[in-house]
Amino acid sequence: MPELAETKQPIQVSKPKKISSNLEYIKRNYILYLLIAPAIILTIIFKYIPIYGALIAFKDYSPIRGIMGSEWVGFKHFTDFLTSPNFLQILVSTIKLSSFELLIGFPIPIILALMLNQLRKSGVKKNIQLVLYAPHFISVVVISGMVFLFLSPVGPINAILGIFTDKPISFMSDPDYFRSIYIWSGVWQGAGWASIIYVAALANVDPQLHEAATLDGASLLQRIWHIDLPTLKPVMAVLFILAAGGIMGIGFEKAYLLQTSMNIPSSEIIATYVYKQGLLAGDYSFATAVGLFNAVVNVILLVFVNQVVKKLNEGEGLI
Amino acid sequence: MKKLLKTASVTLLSGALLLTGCSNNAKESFSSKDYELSDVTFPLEEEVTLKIMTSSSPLAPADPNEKLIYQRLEEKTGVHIDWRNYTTDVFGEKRNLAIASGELPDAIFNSAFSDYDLLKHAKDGVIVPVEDMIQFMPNLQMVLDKAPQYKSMMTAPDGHIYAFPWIEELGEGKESIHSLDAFPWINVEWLEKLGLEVPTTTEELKQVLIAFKTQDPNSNGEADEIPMSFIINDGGQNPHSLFGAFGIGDNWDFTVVSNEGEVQLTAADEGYKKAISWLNELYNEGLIDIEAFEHDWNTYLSKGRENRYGLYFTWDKGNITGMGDDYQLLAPLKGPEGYQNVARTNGMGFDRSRLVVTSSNKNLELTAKWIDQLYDPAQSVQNNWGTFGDKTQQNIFEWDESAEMLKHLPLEGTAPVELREKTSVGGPLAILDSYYGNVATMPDDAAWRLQLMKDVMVPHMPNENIYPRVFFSIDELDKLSTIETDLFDYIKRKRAEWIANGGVENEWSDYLAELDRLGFQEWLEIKQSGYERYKENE
Repeated sequence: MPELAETKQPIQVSKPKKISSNLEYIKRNYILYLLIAPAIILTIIFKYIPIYGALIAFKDYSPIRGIMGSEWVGFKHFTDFLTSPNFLQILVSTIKLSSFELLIGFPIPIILALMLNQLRKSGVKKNIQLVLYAPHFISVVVISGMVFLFLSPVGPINAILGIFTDKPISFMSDPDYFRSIYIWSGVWQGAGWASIIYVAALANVDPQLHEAATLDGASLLQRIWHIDLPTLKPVMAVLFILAAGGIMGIGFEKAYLLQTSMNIPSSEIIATYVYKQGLLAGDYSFATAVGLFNAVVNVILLVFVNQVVKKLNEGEGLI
Repeated sequence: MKKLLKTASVTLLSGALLLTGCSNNAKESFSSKDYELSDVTFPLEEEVTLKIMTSSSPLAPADPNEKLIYQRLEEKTGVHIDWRNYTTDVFGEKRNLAIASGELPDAIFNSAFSDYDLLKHAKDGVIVPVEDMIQFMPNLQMVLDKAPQYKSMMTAPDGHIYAFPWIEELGEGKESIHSLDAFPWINVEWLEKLGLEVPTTTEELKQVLIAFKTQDPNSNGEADEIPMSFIINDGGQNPHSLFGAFGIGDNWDFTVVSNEGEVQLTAADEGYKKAISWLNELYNEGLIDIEAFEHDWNTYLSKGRENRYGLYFTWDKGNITGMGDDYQLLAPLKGPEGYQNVARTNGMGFDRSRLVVTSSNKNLELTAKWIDQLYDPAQSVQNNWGTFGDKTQQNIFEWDESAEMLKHLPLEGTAPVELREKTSVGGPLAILDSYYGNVATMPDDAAWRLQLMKDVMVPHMPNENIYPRVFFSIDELDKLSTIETDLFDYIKRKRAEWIANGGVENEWSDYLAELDRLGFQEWLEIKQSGYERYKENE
């Protein structure tokens, strides 16, 4: 900084020089830039250009007048949402559902991977992995249908419970069960698939470390704790930040599919609310405002989690 | 350098493809061009095409032009319709998306807009006022001359007409077919088998249901009977007619008008609480279908077809258990405090928004004259119920040459709803009471239901008025729809929860406080002032 303050002359000279050297560099490696160009173009077209549509959150959007032509209304839609009687309930449901999902859903694939890693017979390991991955490929619509069938008052689970009680439990119409159903069916479906990346990371552990540790008399748990987990730590950190980034962006499909008019108190989350207000009721401006609010909360959370992880992970974060 | 150019051109080309991919949905392709027609008379010399969006039942053919009604109409007018058709379950979403992306067709048939949508889309310029089109519409004019009350019902508070309505007259006042939607049907075969009388009080009904549950009335040795079933919070299948035994009763939109002209919310009434508490008692005894809070129409129907219900609720038993004598309409029951009411359903054979014309339409006169064909009496009747002379499937009518009118054919066991959804088209139409016997016969099921309504239900309807189709202003509608989303969802959820889990007695005062928090008082004010305004204009 002090160098810049001293004299203007060197900057004016060095700037074009830097640009031209950059250009030189690009020229030399143009093929790499061409390679990445489609990805950048796609990102700009599909991720950045639509951002300007977020303008309608501050307007009274009319499809005929278009985005620019619609009337400005300032923060009206935001105040409407923040003062609506169900605002707090929806926000709390969203945060609860996604944070519980993160807390339960995050460690399970790691445990799975550690267990798979201990299997020495590769044939058995392959088969078990296959069985674990399979549910990942079932569509969420089908999963929800299965959940409804299994948990119906006349379904198999209630038939088993019927041995102990005489009144069936209406799982799908009780808000208390919704989060558990949502999260555990998600774990069943996704944990195997999510463990792949950890299994791959564990495959890179130098076998000599394990041999040395065994010679020194380390038990299985000690080896996992001191060798496997430190190997996984960087992967875990990155994945955790990514998962935390998605905490408010929890997908609407499954919550919407598992929603019944009776479990609304815990199943109505911001994403389903946006869908109902925007696409079903056609109130695009309001829905956009709610979605934008969601995104802002999400960014704040992401930055916060990144800072925390940096502290815990010797200064290594994602951003 | 050559290589660079080559790669660059490929990248540019793919980029260009992407861009055109996004923008080639030019506006023109969704509505038709200006045909510059005036003084239109049908059939047209040269066939033209109008582009219209519509919805139909999943039972009906995906292409509406496969329906005989439209084939005949095309022949008669020389107007080909290019339909964009969606099934009713996804229609609302698709319609909203089309509007949001500016893909406006010439018109939207079966548009099903709420009053708020109508006024908002009119304000935004999506749809156009249609009162000037009526001059081209002799059939509609004739309907409005005969029944002038509909003109004021079509007109918005700002004096414009924004949509063409559906008018179906079946009985008047209390004797209208819409006076009660969910009829209770009781299994008299089971009653006979067990030697029981048709219950007349709530207590008797409870005893009957217990007998249904425990005494194996279908004598198959299994306790698979479902003493009572319904679909909670589903207008036509909801058990609200039982609520009248405890107070003012209940209906699908929780709104009744007392004879003093006071608008009341049924769900805030003492009797409502008692009714729920009684239903909870039944539920705890295992007398209510445990699936009543979750199942959909298809499950409900299949259990009904297996004759497993002792008492169930629907518009017409023909659609569920058939027209046999095994089920009979259950008359209103007397409650413990002597109430024996039927709260009237706020329904009438009038739907404001069945067809809207969009601002993309360049052939207003042609469109008006085509729509007018739908208001032709014989056409209206067919559009509403189905047609005649179809060689490929069952017909609802036959054409009586000598009387020059349409006669209903016997249904022969087919559920009326199913047959109608397959062959009719709905949309804007008008069927006046004076048509019966001139243009067409009254459908047997409607005549039968009207008779039942008059004999069984009407004597117990204390209220002289229903809450009418008030056309509110856009500001009022904005407030109403915001409040109703939260308020009604809450009421419905609590109702189901209390019936299944109990607790209504303890939670009642909290519930009333929550209703107020969700805007109950403001809702009541708007509804009341709307009602008074309507009465003044009448």
